[in-house]
Amino acid sequence: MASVATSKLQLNLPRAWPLLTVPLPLLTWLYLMPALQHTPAAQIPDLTLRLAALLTVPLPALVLHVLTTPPQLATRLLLGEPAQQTVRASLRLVLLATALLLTVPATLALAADLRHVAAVLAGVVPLTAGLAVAAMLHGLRLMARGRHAGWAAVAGGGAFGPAESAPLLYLPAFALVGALAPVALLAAVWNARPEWLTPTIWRGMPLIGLWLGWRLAATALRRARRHLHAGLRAAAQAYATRFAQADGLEEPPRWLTLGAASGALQLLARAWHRRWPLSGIATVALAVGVTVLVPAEAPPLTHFVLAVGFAWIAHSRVLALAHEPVWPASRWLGVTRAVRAAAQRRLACGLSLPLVALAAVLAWQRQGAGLLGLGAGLAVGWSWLHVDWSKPAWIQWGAWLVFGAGVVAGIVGAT
Amino acid sequence: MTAILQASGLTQHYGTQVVLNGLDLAIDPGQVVVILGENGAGKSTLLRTLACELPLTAPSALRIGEVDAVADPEHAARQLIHVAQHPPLAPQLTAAEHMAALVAFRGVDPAATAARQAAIAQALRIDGVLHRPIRALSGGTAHKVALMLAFLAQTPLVLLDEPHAGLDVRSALALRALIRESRDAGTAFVLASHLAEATLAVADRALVLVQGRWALDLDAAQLAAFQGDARRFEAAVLQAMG
Repeated sequence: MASVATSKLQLNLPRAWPLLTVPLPLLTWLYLMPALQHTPAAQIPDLTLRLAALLTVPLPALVLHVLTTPPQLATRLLLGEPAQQTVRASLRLVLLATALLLTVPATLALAADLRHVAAVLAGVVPLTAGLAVAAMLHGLRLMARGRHAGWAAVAGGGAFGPAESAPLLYLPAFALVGALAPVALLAAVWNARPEWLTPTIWRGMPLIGLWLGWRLAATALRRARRHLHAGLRAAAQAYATRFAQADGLEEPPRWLTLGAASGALQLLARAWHRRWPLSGIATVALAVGVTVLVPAEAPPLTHFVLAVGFAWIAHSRVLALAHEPVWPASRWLGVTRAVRAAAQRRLACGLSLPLVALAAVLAWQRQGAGLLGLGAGLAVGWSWLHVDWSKPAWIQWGAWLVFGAGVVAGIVGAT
Repeated sequence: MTAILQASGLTQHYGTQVVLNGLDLAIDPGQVVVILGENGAGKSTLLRTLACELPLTAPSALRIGEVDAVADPEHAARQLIHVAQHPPLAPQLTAAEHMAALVAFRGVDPAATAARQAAIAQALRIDGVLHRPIRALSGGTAHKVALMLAFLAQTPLVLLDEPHAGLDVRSALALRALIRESRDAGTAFVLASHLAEATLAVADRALVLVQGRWALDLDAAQLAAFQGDARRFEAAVLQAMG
């Protein structure tokens, strides 16, 4: 049985702290700017609010990811591949849910031109934190139990997994909530009693928030270290005995294979989907969220940055597809090179076409959003270059062409 | 008898280092050939070359069955199956799904395979893990899954690189029995191995590879003279290795 070295946990904490504390000054600053100008909540610039909303989604999830599945904790050795995959899949699922829950109210508020989006955002910060904590709870509960269990098991306390694993659930969650509490409190006070927050208080708020968050989380984790070690050992033991097998053997969605159902494609799509179960949906959800939340009047540079972001996402997905271990396996199992190349092309289309379609639909709706369409073209061109096309060669030339056009148009549009 | 594999002048380089230096080899159906040699002698490279995984250029010539492997390596590769030391199984798929893929893509007869699959899985003691993803299996168990698939692939030639590595004693004995059984059914094997006892248990021919050339070639009659005396066989191999 692998043990958890104290040094490994200590190594992990400094890595997590910057991520944990970055949201505090950023979010506080975003609330600070309009307040310094004595702007009523109803007149906060859309851009400020939307950027604040964007920042609230990924950062807590990133913090959770680092806290729960860092390489420094050697979870692969400690818990085995199935446990690590389960936890990661769980975190991805809740990240997606968080993104959707954030996007929907913000979108509704903006669509109805409700100038009280601040209220939505004030609620979103703790909501995001709460959902992120729920993600960690869920992931760690799976880690301890080895399989899905009802939420009542968590509510009942101590009924989930070994008793020693309970600190794994609540201590990091307390630390995270503690770190985000000042921001949530500030947002609530600002909405309820804006006159309390004088410019002097606003100016000092980032420092106060940073200090409070740091102290709360540092104290909680310092006191919890011994319990965390015990919890990790208990979870590892549980996995090594009763739950040493993976749960999910999902089948791929039909859209991933663009409706095709050949044997080779199904095999490859199944392997891809099990490795990245939410990658396609999460990419589209992220694209929708970003595109909806960023206003048309935002500077061209913002759109260009978004386009590059889309390109990077699509590129990383298709690159991951090209490096899937399933390709050498399929060759070994007898899938011919031509069939493999065709399947890879189709899967690459399934992963990147939704992004292109989305950008194309939105491009004509927004002023300046044409860059999004070009960005999507750039994404496709860039990422498809990494696909084992084999034949026909003209597709590679086409991909280079789209790539080059995307870069040139993006630079011209941004400048 | 028509050879299932005919190679002549096999040559492979890693940069300026010559790994295979004009090797000749012919293997008949139902023959078990064991390749011996020190670490780094080129055994794995030889198996990869025979499996058409490495490019071949003149003067190398290789035929697998009736197929010219230099001209059509993909077609030639379908005449054999190669289990490397780290077989390329898909971590997310189960052993049963690998089997289904093998049936679909190598044209294996599923009806004839079902009973044999159950027997092999039981012999290798993996019948309880066939529906688990490969990533959830230990390295040794995953290796046994790859061996099971190789025996079920119904190819006339099977290449096994260090097949006993990572196997427990019971599974190693089962593997030898499976090799003998398949050999009797006409399947030819090329094994890379370090184990003298395992070689004597299954081999019809043993070759020692030193600096890219054959240093020793023992046929079935010569190997029979070493039966029951693995130490003497080891001494002969060591002498050939220099």
